[in-house]
Amino acid sequence: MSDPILTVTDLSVGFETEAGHVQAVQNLSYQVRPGEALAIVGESGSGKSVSSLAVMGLLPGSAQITGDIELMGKKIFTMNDRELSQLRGDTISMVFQDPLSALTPVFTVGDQISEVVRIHHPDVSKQKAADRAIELLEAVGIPEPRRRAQQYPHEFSGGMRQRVMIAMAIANEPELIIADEPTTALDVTIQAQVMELLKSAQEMLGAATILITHDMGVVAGFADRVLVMKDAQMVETGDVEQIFYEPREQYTRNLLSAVPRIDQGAEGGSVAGAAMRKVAEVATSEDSRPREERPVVLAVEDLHRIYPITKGAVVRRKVGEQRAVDGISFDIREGECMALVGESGCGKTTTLMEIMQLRTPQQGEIRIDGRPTGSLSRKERAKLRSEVTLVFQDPMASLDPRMPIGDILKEPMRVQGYSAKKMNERVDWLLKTVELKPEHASRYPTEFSGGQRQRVGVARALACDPKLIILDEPTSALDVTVQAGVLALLADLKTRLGVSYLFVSHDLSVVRHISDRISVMRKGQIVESGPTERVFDDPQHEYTKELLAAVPIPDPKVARTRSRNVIDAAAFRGHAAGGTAESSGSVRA
Amino acid sequence: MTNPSDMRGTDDAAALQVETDHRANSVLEGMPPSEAEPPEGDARSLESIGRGELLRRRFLRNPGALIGMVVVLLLILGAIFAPMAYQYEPFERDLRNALTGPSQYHWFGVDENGYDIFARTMVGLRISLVIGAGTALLTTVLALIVGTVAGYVSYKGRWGAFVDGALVNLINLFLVIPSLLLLMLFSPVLQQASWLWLIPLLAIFSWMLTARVLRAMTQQLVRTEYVEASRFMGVNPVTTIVRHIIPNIASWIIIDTTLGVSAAILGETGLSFIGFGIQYPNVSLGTVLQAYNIAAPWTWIPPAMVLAALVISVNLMGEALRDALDPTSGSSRV
Repeated sequence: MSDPILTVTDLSVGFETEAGHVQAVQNLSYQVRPGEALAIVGESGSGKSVSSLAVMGLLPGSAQITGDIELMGKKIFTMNDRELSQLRGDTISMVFQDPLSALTPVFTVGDQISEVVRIHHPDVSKQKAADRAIELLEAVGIPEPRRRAQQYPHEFSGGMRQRVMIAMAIANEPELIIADEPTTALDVTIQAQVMELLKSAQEMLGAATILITHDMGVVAGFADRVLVMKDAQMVETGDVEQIFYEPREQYTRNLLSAVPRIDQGAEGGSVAGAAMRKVAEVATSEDSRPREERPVVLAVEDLHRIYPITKGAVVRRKVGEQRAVDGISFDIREGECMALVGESGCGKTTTLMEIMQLRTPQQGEIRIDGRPTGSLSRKERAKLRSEVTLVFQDPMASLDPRMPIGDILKEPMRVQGYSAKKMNERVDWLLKTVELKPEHASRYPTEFSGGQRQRVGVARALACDPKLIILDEPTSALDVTVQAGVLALLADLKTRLGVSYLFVSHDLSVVRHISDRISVMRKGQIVESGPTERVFDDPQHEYTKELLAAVPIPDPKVARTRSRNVIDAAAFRGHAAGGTAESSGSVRA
Repeated sequence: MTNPSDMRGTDDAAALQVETDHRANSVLEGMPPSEAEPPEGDARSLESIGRGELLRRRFLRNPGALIGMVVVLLLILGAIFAPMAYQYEPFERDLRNALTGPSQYHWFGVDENGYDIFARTMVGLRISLVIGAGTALLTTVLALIVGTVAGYVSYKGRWGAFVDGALVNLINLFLVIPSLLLLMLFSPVLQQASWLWLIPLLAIFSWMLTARVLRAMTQQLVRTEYVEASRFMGVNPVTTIVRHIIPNIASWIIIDTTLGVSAAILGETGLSFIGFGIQYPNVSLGTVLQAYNIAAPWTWIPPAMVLAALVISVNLMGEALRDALDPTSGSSRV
């Protein structure tokens, strides 16, 4: 076996804050060999990102570091910043989480890539570096690379930007690529493409890769070895098969079982998804009345929302229109969970906002409990606010940080004119219902973890006995184990209280376990709609199939059988430059 | 002479000091130099002490804050008690000692009209403090109303945009008005009724920039999910502003009010110095300075020092408060 490229020995990182000493990483040791893909998996706050920043030598000066990091025989901590800069971008390169902020908005994409090349190879002429940038763009699958290289980052979509980041990362043929949650900000279909690109780029270069992620599904198709971290410490490490099929530690087991998976089956032998199957059992066990006999809670008919695109500052004229929601219809019955699934920009959020406004839509009709929203009086509308409630995506942003959670829960009740005594009883009941302690009513949201805050958000939505709760990606900001808990709570509430859900999500695998019906949305229209089982087993529309195929499966054997679109190795070697291929191609060659 | 209206004024100033700190307390409990500690024991104050403790530590870590606090406290105490204990009244003439320097009877000396400078400075300090604090509070209230309303309605459809536009134009109008000229015009007229008129007069020309900032902050908050959530629950807009928006911009308001005190004091003393501010039979630090005699330094150095000490120490406190409360410093959450 070849010598490891990177050896981390007994690494500990701590920070001194006003709240006291915080240990971010404790006694972490691992090795990465050439050509190997190591995945560091952990939930937020487990120290996975800090440990990789340490490898890059990018930790702030206030960090207290002990231990050793050796990169190709050189000790990182003995180097000064100038020497480290030599390594960064050349020997190690990094793909960041947020492609929006990782590219400089004021330079063209081509300039930014050629800058990476020229920093480490000052002898390469400007023209050659620019040509190289175009080759790299072509290699990562960006159409019309010559034209695209002249564009600025804002003209690229999120997935395209992440491709550009990968192009920059592989520009100097690094020995080690660190990818820090490279696909967290992306849609599921784009995520699949980017991960495949990253994998094939790694295979082509023979580089070692460290993938930092919280998503077990991504790991299964990518990594050779997995390192699980929790609370700054390593929990378990092993081959990807071993971790997925025979995890030794309970934490790994929990982590895996909380991963939602789109293929229900346990045939593969992977532990993943066990807990989520229980959610599905809870969600579907009750209520035997057939759907047709139950009353309709929410009906949306031919809903349109069109934003005009205007030009001109003084005299505005309409130059076009953006059809955010383009004639969608669906209905939700009592005690039913309908999922509205689609990628970002498909009009999901606009649809919910139209429903929550309780106004007459531009075109079409929204009926709640049989009453059209347009015809409501002010009083009726205020009353209806208690029956249709919303749970937001981000539990950090949706609770007022200056208010104790008891007051937050009382707010909707106060609007509906509950008595003080009833409100207090209700707050106790609500907190118990969402599995929090009633004593916590006097605490502030910042004292709770993300999952607990989302429970408070759910409790607030439940406050006035709603008929319908609209869930706007309620778990996408949460860690998987926490997500499983919140989903289990939602499933339980649905069967116990008989509320209906409109569950908006971009993640098909989450939706599978909790929803009764699914509507797939694309470009403002519903392309497919039907009972969950039917949609998953027998998808009719092309787009649904595409979505299903893109969802990562937390099972290494299954994940490896899937197709992949490879990096254009020929372009990387420099065929794009035609006759001058030999000279302008690979800078190392 | 300790006239009753003065007395009320100083009490106001002291009450105001406590009140300002108390308003801070609702956000950051345990802020010195408040004597009015919130009732302890219930879980809420227990929790908040965690955050309050952090702020107290950060505030006190700043040596400027401590110095500022002590100096302001001494000046307030001096303004309240010194005129009661001192043997001379501000308009008592001691012509025999006219234009003599500091002595054991006349602590800061006597000016050419035979007035005792220490007595005048301390009584003037009272009025300056009252006007400073009152103007700062009134300015904040005005700015808060205009700023939050404009910020809140700016996203509410066509009418909202219209109201917002009208308020912003009002702000701009007040910004371009030559305020000094209008102050010089109105101040002496209104002074005939009461010297307290100077408070609204100064406030009406100094709320605009604060209002603009508050409008921008409100616009930012209106877009947060928790404000949106309260809208979807049917909470009425005024309640939303009072319960969700103002508490979340409170720290900035507190800082701005504190710094506004020194700005208002400077405005008032400047106006009084050129003769358009506080009129006979009242004295402010500005009118004391007006009777300067350049050849006799004791006629202008002591009041100027008191004025400078007051403004600098209030500013020091404001700066320390800003550092302690600064939401961008990142570690403000425990």
